[in-house]
Amino acid sequence: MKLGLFYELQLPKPYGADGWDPEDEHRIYKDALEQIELADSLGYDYVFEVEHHHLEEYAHSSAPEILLAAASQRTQNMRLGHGITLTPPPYNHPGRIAERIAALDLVSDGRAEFGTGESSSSAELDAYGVPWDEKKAMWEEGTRTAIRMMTEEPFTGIDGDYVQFPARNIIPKPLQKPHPPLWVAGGRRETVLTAARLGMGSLGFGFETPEEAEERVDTYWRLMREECRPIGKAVNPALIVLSQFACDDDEEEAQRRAGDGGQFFSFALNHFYSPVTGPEHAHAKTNLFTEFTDTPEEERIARLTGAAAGRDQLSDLARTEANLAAEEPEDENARALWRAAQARAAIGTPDQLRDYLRPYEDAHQDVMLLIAQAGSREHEDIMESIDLFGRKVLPDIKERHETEHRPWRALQLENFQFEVNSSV
Amino acid sequence: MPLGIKPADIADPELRAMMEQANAALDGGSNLECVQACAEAYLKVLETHENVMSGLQVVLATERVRVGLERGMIRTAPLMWPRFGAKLSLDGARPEITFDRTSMATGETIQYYEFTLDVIMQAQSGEVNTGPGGGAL
Repeated sequence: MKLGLFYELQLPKPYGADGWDPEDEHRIYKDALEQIELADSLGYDYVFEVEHHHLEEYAHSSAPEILLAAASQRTQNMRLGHGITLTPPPYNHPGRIAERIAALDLVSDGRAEFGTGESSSSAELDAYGVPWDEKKAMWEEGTRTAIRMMTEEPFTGIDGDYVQFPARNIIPKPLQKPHPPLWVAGGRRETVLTAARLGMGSLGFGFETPEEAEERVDTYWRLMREECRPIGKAVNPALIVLSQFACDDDEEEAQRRAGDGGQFFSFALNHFYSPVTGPEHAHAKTNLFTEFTDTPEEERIARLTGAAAGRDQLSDLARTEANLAAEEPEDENARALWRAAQARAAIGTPDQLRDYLRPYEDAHQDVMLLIAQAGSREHEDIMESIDLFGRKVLPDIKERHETEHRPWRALQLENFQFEVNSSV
Repeated sequence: MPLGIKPADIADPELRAMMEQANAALDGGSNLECVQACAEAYLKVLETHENVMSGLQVVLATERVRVGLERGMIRTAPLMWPRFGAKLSLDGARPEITFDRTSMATGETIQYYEFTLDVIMQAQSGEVNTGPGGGAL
């Protein structure tokens, strides 16, 4: 299994404040670059960054191509992933996507990963005029068109349902041929089935257990072998899982470093994605962190339980948290530790993280992305977590990736009928 | 429900034939035909399995789903026919699915296909999940 970092670029407002300090956004961008540079030097394999718009406090990452381009000049080996690019054409014209992905691939010497997705919040969809019942069709046409634009010389044009574009040669072309590895994002279980059938890597936001991951690996590879009709010119057989992350030699210190990151992540995600609370967001006025802090835990859980009744991107995570809350101990310290143990999170000492990650390796998961930056976690704590994990845990996992996982993948890919471009 | 269900796993011969037809259409790239076959199978399940229909009513009554439907902001929920270009109506004497479009994207088609297989298997097993932790999709 390979390891990487995942960024939303969260920026909670100070408690009770109307807004941020003018320097805050500058700071989180510079901090993220420093964290990514450190991770690259320690051998972390990936950084993936989201594209979201208007999701204040939850994600200040609306132009990932810029941060990834900057990261390309401060890193040597790390793969630079769009996690994801919004490909419905009203967000990003496929021609501009093709150009930007290619340019990132060139400046990074072929390290770009082309993650794709739709988004699921009214703050984004309604603002850009993406109809809810057509966004998946828009995603597919935008993605297919961008891939064609990266590979056809010249692009022969399209008269589609959502994109009309004449024959032109889209330049530059990506360094990786036929194109960078393709991914599709989603938190729902069937997204992995769609990914396999379209020959894409699955960038899963479901925070799966190792048992769930194992089931998905089996089904994914079977569909990839038997039912695949690739959306691109090369397939990317790969599965990603996410986890919250904090590390220290002392367990309680690791908990302190993790802080409110995981809970704020869930709370804010639910706030924007819920049809009940999302449309009520007062842009530039709501202080989400204050609301999070002032909301009694029972109420937070109730909201998540409501979310768990859905089938949207949040539902798997919400089910996890709701089930978790139903059983937690009353004692505060016991509760904190129990929660870390149960929350499917890479939070703890190096030994605990080894134990936490090994079942995912055994389940043949390809990539684990660690959410180090979340909520009000401090930059210094994030740096120390990345450093400690990188020195004490990562080397053994990287070795097992070469000696165990790569041979396993080679077996899966035997007699594979499609061209493969995968960084795993 | 497990992932990766196949039509061969379906016990009811009529439903199995419908989903075999859907699978063949999916393999052949006939997306609309696949979704139409899935719609027929889903409606048959609603008509023949009271537990699925009652479970669906529970789902539709939850605040998140009810408000999401009122605001046009929800496409998927447990047991609910996904709202991508073909929508379920329970207003008439019998459940009905109407198609807004004459074409379906491959991703939409796959989702309809997997959803329908999952609902059929829930009906078949008698274990209909409507709430937290429930369902395979």
